[in-house]
Amino acid sequence: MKYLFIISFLFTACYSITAQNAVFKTNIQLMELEELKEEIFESEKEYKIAFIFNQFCPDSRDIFPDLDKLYKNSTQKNFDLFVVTNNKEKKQQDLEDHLFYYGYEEPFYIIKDKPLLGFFKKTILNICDSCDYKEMGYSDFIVFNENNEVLVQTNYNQTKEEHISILKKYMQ
Amino acid sequence: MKKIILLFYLIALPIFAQKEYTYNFKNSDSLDAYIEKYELPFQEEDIYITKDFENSFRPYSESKFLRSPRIYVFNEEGQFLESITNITSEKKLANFKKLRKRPEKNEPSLDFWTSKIVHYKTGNDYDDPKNYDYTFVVNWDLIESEQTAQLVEIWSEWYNVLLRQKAKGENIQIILLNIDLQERWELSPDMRRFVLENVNRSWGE
Repeated sequence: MKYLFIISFLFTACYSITAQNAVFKTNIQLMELEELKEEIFESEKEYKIAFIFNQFCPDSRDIFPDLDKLYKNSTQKNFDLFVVTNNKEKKQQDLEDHLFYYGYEEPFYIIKDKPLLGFFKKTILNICDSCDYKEMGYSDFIVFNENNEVLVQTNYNQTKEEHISILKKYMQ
Repeated sequence: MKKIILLFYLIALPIFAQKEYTYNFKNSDSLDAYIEKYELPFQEEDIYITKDFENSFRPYSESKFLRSPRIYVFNEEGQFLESITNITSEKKLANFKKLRKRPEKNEPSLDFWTSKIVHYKTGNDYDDPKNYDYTFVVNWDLIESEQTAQLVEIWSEWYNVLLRQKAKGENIQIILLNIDLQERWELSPDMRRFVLENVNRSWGE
Protein backbone atom coordinates (compact mmCIF):
# COMPACT_ATOMS: atom_id res chain seq x y z
CA MET A 1 0.00 0.00 0.00
CA LYS A 2 2.86 2.32 0.97
CA TYR A 3 4.59 1.64 -2.39
CA LEU A 4 1.37 2.19 -4.26
CA PHE A 5 1.02 5.57 -2.57
CA ILE A 6 4.63 6.52 -3.42
CA ILE A 7 4.23 5.42 -7.04
CA SER A 8 0.96 7.28 -7.44
CA PHE A 9 2.51 10.37 -5.82
CA LEU A 10 5.49 10.23 -8.20
CA PHE A 11 3.19 9.73 -11.15
CA THR A 12 1.05 12.71 -10.13
CA ALA A 13 4.14 14.87 -9.56
CA CYS A 14 5.66 13.87 -12.92
CA TYR A 15 2.38 14.46 -14.68
CA SER A 16 1.95 17.95 -13.25
CA ILE A 17 5.54 18.86 -14.15
CA THR A 18 4.96 17.61 -17.70
CA ALA A 19 1.67 19.47 -17.92
CA GLN A 20 3.26 22.71 -16.77
CA ASN A 21 6.14 22.39 -19.20
CA ALA A 22 4.20 21.05 -22.15
CA VAL A 23 5.54 22.60 -25.31
CA PHE A 24 2.89 24.60 -27.06
CA LYS A 25 2.50 24.01 -30.78
CA THR A 26 0.57 26.05 -33.27
CA ASN A 27 -1.44 24.22 -35.88
CA ILE A 28 -1.19 25.93 -39.26
CA GLN A 29 -1.65 24.11 -42.53
CA LEU A 30 -0.99 25.42 -46.01
CA MET A 31 -3.56 24.20 -48.45
CA GLU A 32 -5.12 24.87 -51.80
CA LEU A 33 -8.79 25.78 -51.80
CA GLU A 34 -9.79 22.47 -53.35
CA GLU A 35 -7.85 20.53 -50.74
CA LEU A 36 -9.52 22.50 -47.99
CA LYS A 37 -12.93 21.64 -49.39
CA GLU A 38 -11.98 17.95 -49.46
CA GLU A 39 -10.66 18.16 -45.92
CA ILE A 40 -13.93 19.61 -44.66
CA PHE A 41 -16.18 17.29 -46.64
CA GLU A 42 -14.21 14.16 -45.81
CA SER A 43 -14.43 14.80 -42.10
CA GLU A 44 -16.82 12.32 -40.49
CA LYS A 45 -17.62 14.46 -37.49
CA GLU A 46 -21.20 15.33 -36.62
CA TYR A 47 -20.50 19.00 -37.24
CA LYS A 48 -17.89 20.74 -39.36
CA ILE A 49 -17.33 24.44 -38.67
CA ALA A 50 -15.55 26.64 -41.20
CA PHE A 51 -14.64 29.91 -39.46
CA ILE A 52 -13.36 32.84 -41.51
CA PHE A 53 -10.53 34.64 -39.72
CA ASN A 54 -8.50 37.78 -40.22
CA GLN A 55 -5.59 38.37 -37.84
CA PHE A 56 -5.96 42.13 -38.05
CA CYS A 57 -9.76 42.35 -37.91
CA PRO A 58 -10.98 43.57 -34.48
CA ASP A 59 -14.09 41.38 -34.75
CA SER A 60 -12.03 38.25 -35.39
CA ARG A 61 -9.70 39.09 -32.51
CA ASP A 62 -12.63 39.89 -30.28
CA ILE A 63 -14.50 36.62 -30.70
CA PHE A 64 -11.51 34.31 -30.81
CA PRO A 65 -10.78 34.05 -27.06
CA ASP A 66 -14.35 32.80 -26.56
CA LEU A 67 -14.06 30.38 -29.45
CA ASP A 68 -10.73 29.22 -28.00
CA LYS A 69 -12.37 28.51 -24.64
CA LEU A 70 -15.15 26.50 -26.30
CA TYR A 71 -12.58 24.57 -28.34
CA LYS A 72 -10.38 23.76 -25.36
CA ASN A 73 -13.26 22.96 -23.03
CA SER A 74 -15.18 20.76 -25.45
CA THR A 75 -15.51 17.28 -24.03
CA GLN A 76 -17.41 15.33 -26.66
CA LYS A 77 -15.30 16.58 -29.60
CA ASN A 78 -18.23 16.00 -31.92
CA PHE A 79 -17.01 18.63 -34.36
CA ASP A 80 -14.09 19.58 -36.56
CA LEU A 81 -13.04 23.20 -36.68
CA PHE A 82 -11.42 24.73 -39.76
CA VAL A 83 -10.21 28.27 -39.20
CA VAL A 84 -9.68 29.68 -42.67
CA THR A 85 -7.45 32.72 -42.49
CA ASN A 86 -6.80 35.35 -45.11
CA ASN A 87 -3.08 35.55 -44.21
CA LYS A 88 -0.82 35.22 -47.22
CA GLU A 89 1.52 32.25 -47.43
CA LYS A 90 4.54 34.52 -46.96
CA LYS A 91 2.96 35.96 -43.80
CA GLN A 92 2.78 32.58 -42.09
CA GLN A 93 5.30 33.64 -39.45
CA ASP A 94 3.10 36.58 -38.44
CA LEU A 95 0.22 34.19 -37.91
CA GLU A 96 2.50 31.75 -36.02
CA ASP A 97 3.49 34.59 -33.69
CA HIS A 98 -0.13 35.63 -33.18
CA LEU A 99 -1.22 32.10 -32.31
CA PHE A 100 1.79 31.55 -30.08
CA TYR A 101 1.16 34.80 -28.22
CA TYR A 102 -2.43 33.91 -27.42
CA GLY A 103 -1.88 30.15 -27.09
CA TYR A 104 -4.35 29.29 -29.84
CA GLU A 105 -4.08 25.62 -30.81
CA GLU A 106 -6.98 25.54 -33.28
CA PRO A 107 -6.31 24.24 -36.80
CA PHE A 108 -5.69 27.26 -39.02
CA TYR A 109 -5.64 27.02 -42.79
CA ILE A 110 -3.69 29.36 -45.04
CA ILE A 111 -4.88 29.19 -48.61
CA LYS A 112 -1.95 28.58 -50.94
CA ASP A 113 -3.72 29.90 -53.99
CA LYS A 114 -5.27 32.82 -52.11
CA PRO A 115 -6.92 35.05 -54.67
CA LEU A 116 -5.60 38.59 -54.90
CA LEU A 117 -9.15 39.86 -55.03
CA GLY A 118 -12.39 38.32 -53.88
CA PHE A 119 -11.02 36.17 -51.05
CA PHE A 120 -14.47 35.94 -49.52
CA LYS A 121 -16.34 35.16 -52.68
CA LYS A 122 -13.92 32.50 -53.87
CA THR A 123 -13.27 30.91 -50.50
CA ILE A 124 -16.86 30.75 -49.34
CA LEU A 125 -18.35 29.71 -52.65
CA ASN A 126 -15.72 27.01 -52.92
CA ILE A 127 -16.81 25.33 -49.73
CA CYS A 128 -20.48 26.30 -49.80
CA ASP A 129 -22.07 27.19 -53.12
CA SER A 130 -25.46 27.87 -51.52
CA CYS A 131 -24.03 30.41 -49.05
CA ASP A 132 -24.48 34.12 -49.51
CA TYR A 133 -20.90 35.36 -49.30
CA LYS A 134 -22.04 38.99 -49.50
CA GLU A 135 -23.68 38.59 -46.10
CA MET A 136 -20.54 37.26 -44.45
CA GLY A 137 -17.55 38.98 -42.88
CA TYR A 138 -14.47 38.04 -40.88
CA SER A 139 -15.52 36.12 -37.76
CA ASP A 140 -18.51 34.61 -39.58
CA PHE A 141 -18.74 30.86 -40.00
CA ILE A 142 -20.60 28.02 -41.66
CA VAL A 143 -21.68 24.86 -39.86
CA PHE A 144 -22.09 21.67 -41.92
CA ASN A 145 -23.58 18.43 -40.72
CA GLU A 146 -21.98 15.04 -41.32
CA ASN A 147 -23.67 14.87 -44.74
CA ASN A 148 -22.09 18.21 -45.62
CA GLU A 149 -25.38 20.05 -45.61
CA VAL A 150 -25.33 23.62 -44.34
CA LEU A 151 -26.92 23.90 -40.91
CA VAL A 152 -25.98 27.49 -40.16
CA GLN A 153 -24.46 30.37 -42.04
CA THR A 154 -23.84 33.43 -39.89
CA ASN A 155 -23.75 36.98 -41.21
CA TYR A 156 -22.22 40.30 -40.30
CA ASN A 157 -25.47 41.64 -38.88
CA GLN A 158 -25.28 39.19 -36.02
CA THR A 159 -23.64 40.14 -32.76
CA LYS A 160 -20.68 38.45 -31.15
CA GLU A 161 -23.02 37.06 -28.48
CA GLU A 162 -25.22 35.49 -31.15
CA HIS A 163 -22.17 33.93 -32.78
CA ILE A 164 -20.96 32.50 -29.49
CA SER A 165 -24.34 31.11 -28.63
CA ILE A 166 -24.44 29.27 -31.99
CA LEU A 167 -20.89 27.99 -31.52
CA LYS A 168 -21.78 26.74 -28.03
CA LYS A 169 -24.51 24.60 -29.52
CA TYR A 170 -22.16 22.82 -31.93
CA MET A 171 -18.84 22.82 -30.09
CA GLN A 172 -19.71 20.31 -27.38
CA MET B 1 -11.10 55.96 -37.67
CA LYS B 2 -11.66 52.78 -35.69
CA LYS B 3 -7.91 52.12 -35.76
CA ILE B 4 -7.11 55.63 -34.52
CA ILE B 5 -9.55 55.25 -31.62
CA LEU B 6 -8.06 51.83 -30.79
CA LEU B 7 -4.50 53.21 -30.92
CA PHE B 8 -5.44 56.15 -28.71
CA TYR B 9 -7.08 53.78 -26.27
CA LEU B 10 -4.04 51.50 -26.16
CA ILE B 11 -1.70 54.41 -25.54
CA ALA B 12 -3.98 56.01 -22.98
CA LEU B 13 -4.77 52.84 -21.06
CA PRO B 14 -1.65 52.85 -18.86
CA ILE B 15 -2.23 56.51 -18.00
CA PHE B 16 -5.94 56.34 -17.33
CA ALA B 17 -5.50 53.05 -15.50
CA GLN B 18 -4.01 55.02 -12.61
CA LYS B 19 -7.09 57.25 -12.21
CA GLU B 20 -9.45 57.34 -9.24
CA TYR B 21 -7.59 54.83 -7.15
CA THR B 22 -6.27 55.32 -3.65
CA TYR B 23 -2.91 53.70 -3.12
CA ASN B 24 -2.19 51.94 0.13
CA PHE B 25 0.37 49.61 1.63
CA LYS B 26 0.24 45.96 0.60
CA ASN B 27 1.63 42.71 1.92
CA SER B 28 2.00 39.15 0.69
CA ASP B 29 -1.58 38.34 1.75
CA SER B 30 -3.01 41.20 -0.29
CA LEU B 31 -0.92 40.10 -3.28
CA ASP B 32 -2.17 36.52 -2.92
CA ALA B 33 -5.76 37.70 -2.53
CA TYR B 34 -5.53 39.81 -5.70
CA ILE B 35 -3.94 36.95 -7.64
CA GLU B 36 -6.70 34.62 -6.50
CA LYS B 37 -9.53 37.09 -7.06
CA TYR B 38 -8.51 37.86 -10.63
CA GLU B 39 -7.15 34.37 -11.39
CA LEU B 40 -3.75 35.64 -12.42
CA PRO B 41 -1.62 32.70 -13.57
CA PHE B 42 1.44 33.96 -11.63
CA GLN B 43 3.75 31.43 -10.02
CA GLU B 44 4.92 32.28 -6.54
CA GLU B 45 8.62 31.87 -7.25
CA ASP B 46 8.59 34.63 -9.87
CA ILE B 47 6.98 37.34 -7.70
CA TYR B 48 9.15 40.09 -6.23
CA ILE B 49 8.62 43.40 -4.46
CA THR B 50 10.85 46.38 -3.72
CA LYS B 51 13.12 45.82 -0.74
CA ASP B 52 12.70 49.10 1.15
CA PHE B 53 11.50 52.63 0.65
CA GLU B 54 14.63 54.75 0.73
CA ASN B 55 17.08 52.70 -1.31
CA SER B 56 14.75 50.70 -3.49
CA PHE B 57 11.34 52.22 -4.08
CA ARG B 58 12.51 55.82 -4.17
CA PRO B 59 15.18 55.30 -6.88
CA TYR B 60 12.57 53.43 -8.93
CA SER B 61 9.98 56.13 -8.48
CA GLU B 62 12.52 58.74 -9.52
CA SER B 63 13.37 56.74 -12.62
CA LYS B 64 11.02 56.08 -15.50
CA PHE B 65 10.85 52.41 -14.58
CA LEU B 66 7.93 52.44 -12.17
CA ARG B 67 5.24 52.08 -14.79
CA SER B 68 2.61 49.45 -15.14
CA PRO B 69 1.69 47.54 -17.23
CA ARG B 70 5.20 47.47 -18.67
CA ILE B 71 7.96 44.93 -19.33
CA TYR B 72 11.64 45.81 -19.19
CA VAL B 73 13.95 43.54 -21.17
CA PHE B 74 17.63 42.85 -20.49
CA ASN B 75 20.15 40.87 -22.50
CA GLU B 76 22.50 38.13 -21.28
CA GLU B 77 24.98 40.73 -20.02
CA GLY B 78 22.23 42.43 -18.03
CA GLN B 79 22.14 45.43 -20.35
CA PHE B 80 18.81 47.14 -20.83
CA LEU B 81 17.37 46.53 -24.29
CA GLU B 82 13.91 48.03 -24.33
CA SER B 83 10.57 48.40 -22.63
CA ILE B 84 7.52 46.63 -23.96
CA THR B 85 3.97 47.94 -23.75
CA ASN B 86 0.64 46.37 -24.62
CA ILE B 87 1.03 47.82 -28.11
CA THR B 88 4.30 46.03 -28.89
CA SER B 89 3.93 42.96 -26.70
CA GLU B 90 2.41 40.58 -29.27
CA LYS B 91 5.19 41.16 -31.77
CA LYS B 92 8.07 41.13 -29.28
CA LEU B 93 7.08 38.43 -26.81
CA ALA B 94 5.94 35.90 -29.40
CA ASN B 95 9.15 36.21 -31.38
CA PHE B 96 12.39 37.16 -29.64
CA LYS B 97 14.04 37.85 -33.01
CA LYS B 98 12.02 41.05 -32.95
CA LEU B 99 13.54 42.26 -29.69
CA ARG B 100 16.00 45.12 -29.92
CA LYS B 101 19.56 43.80 -30.28
CA ARG B 102 21.61 46.82 -29.31
CA PRO B 103 21.45 47.87 -25.64
CA GLU B 104 20.06 51.30 -24.78
CA LYS B 105 22.84 53.66 -23.78
CA ASN B 106 22.88 55.34 -20.35
CA GLU B 107 20.17 53.14 -18.89
CA PRO B 108 20.62 51.20 -15.64
CA SER B 109 21.58 47.58 -15.99
CA LEU B 110 19.79 44.59 -14.51
CA ASP B 111 21.82 44.93 -11.29
CA PHE B 112 20.05 48.21 -10.58
CA TRP B 113 16.82 46.25 -10.43
CA THR B 114 17.86 43.00 -8.84
CA SER B 115 19.74 44.71 -6.01
CA LYS B 116 16.52 46.45 -4.98
CA ILE B 117 14.07 43.58 -4.92
CA VAL B 118 13.18 40.73 -2.57
CA HIS B 119 10.88 37.76 -2.87
CA TYR B 120 7.37 38.83 -1.83
CA LYS B 121 6.90 36.03 0.70
CA THR B 122 10.32 35.05 1.99
CA GLY B 123 11.84 38.52 1.85
CA ASN B 124 15.00 36.93 0.46
CA ASP B 125 17.19 39.00 -1.84
CA TYR B 126 17.08 38.23 -5.53
CA ASP B 127 19.94 35.82 -5.96
CA ASP B 128 20.14 33.86 -9.17
CA PRO B 129 23.66 33.13 -10.39
CA LYS B 130 22.39 31.61 -13.64
CA ASN B 131 22.90 33.48 -16.89
CA TYR B 132 19.86 33.99 -19.04
CA ASP B 133 19.65 35.04 -22.67
CA TYR B 134 16.93 37.49 -21.70
CA THR B 135 15.46 38.70 -18.42
CA PHE B 136 11.94 40.12 -18.49
CA VAL B 137 10.88 42.34 -15.59
CA VAL B 138 7.09 42.53 -15.67
CA ASN B 139 5.75 45.46 -13.63
CA TRP B 140 2.32 44.96 -12.11
CA ASP B 141 0.29 46.40 -9.28
CA LEU B 142 -2.86 45.74 -7.30
CA ILE B 143 -4.93 48.42 -8.90
CA GLU B 144 -8.72 48.34 -8.60
CA SER B 145 -10.39 50.44 -11.25
CA GLU B 146 -12.59 50.20 -14.30
CA GLN B 147 -9.56 48.99 -16.23
CA THR B 148 -8.68 46.15 -13.85
CA ALA B 149 -10.14 43.44 -16.08
CA GLN B 150 -8.12 44.65 -19.06
CA LEU B 151 -4.94 44.99 -17.02
CA VAL B 152 -5.35 41.51 -15.61
CA GLU B 153 -5.82 40.21 -19.13
CA ILE B 154 -2.63 41.94 -20.28
CA TRP B 155 -0.54 40.64 -17.37
CA SER B 156 -1.94 37.13 -17.85
CA GLU B 157 -1.20 37.16 -21.57
CA TRP B 158 2.34 38.40 -20.96
CA TYR B 159 3.12 35.86 -18.30
CA ASN B 160 1.54 32.97 -20.21
CA VAL B 161 3.41 33.70 -23.42
CA LEU B 162 6.70 33.96 -21.51
CA LEU B 163 5.97 30.61 -19.86
CA ARG B 164 5.31 29.15 -23.31
CA GLN B 165 8.67 30.52 -24.47
CA LYS B 166 10.35 28.93 -21.46
CA ALA B 167 8.64 25.59 -22.12
CA LYS B 168 9.81 25.82 -25.72
CA GLY B 169 13.38 25.93 -24.45
CA GLU B 170 14.16 29.64 -24.39
CA ASN B 171 16.68 30.45 -21.69
CA ILE B 172 14.83 33.32 -20.04
CA GLN B 173 14.10 34.66 -16.59
CA ILE B 174 10.78 36.23 -15.61
CA ILE B 175 10.55 38.65 -12.69
CA LEU B 176 7.02 39.68 -11.77
CA LEU B 177 7.77 42.92 -9.96
CA ASN B 178 4.91 44.21 -7.86
CA ILE B 179 5.41 47.97 -7.66
CA ASP B 180 2.97 48.72 -4.83
CA LEU B 181 3.90 50.29 -1.51
CA GLN B 182 4.90 47.52 0.89
CA GLU B 183 4.11 46.86 4.55
CA ARG B 184 7.42 45.00 4.68
CA TRP B 185 9.27 48.32 4.60
CA GLU B 186 8.09 48.89 8.18
CA LEU B 187 7.95 52.65 7.91
CA SER B 188 7.12 54.82 10.91
CA PRO B 189 3.50 56.08 11.10
CA ASP B 190 4.58 59.58 10.06
CA MET B 191 6.57 58.28 7.13
CA ARG B 192 3.68 56.06 6.02
CA ARG B 193 1.36 59.07 6.02
CA PHE B 194 3.92 61.15 4.13
CA VAL B 195 4.47 58.43 1.50
CA LEU B 196 0.75 57.80 1.02
CA GLU B 197 -0.01 61.50 0.65
CA ASN B 198 2.73 61.94 -1.91
CA VAL B 199 2.00 58.82 -3.88
CA ASN B 200 -1.71 59.47 -4.03
CA ARG B 201 -1.15 63.10 -5.00
CA SER B 202 1.28 62.33 -7.80
CA TRP B 203 -0.13 58.99 -9.06
CA GLY B 204 -3.76 59.17 -8.13
CA GLU B 205 -4.59 62.41 -9.86
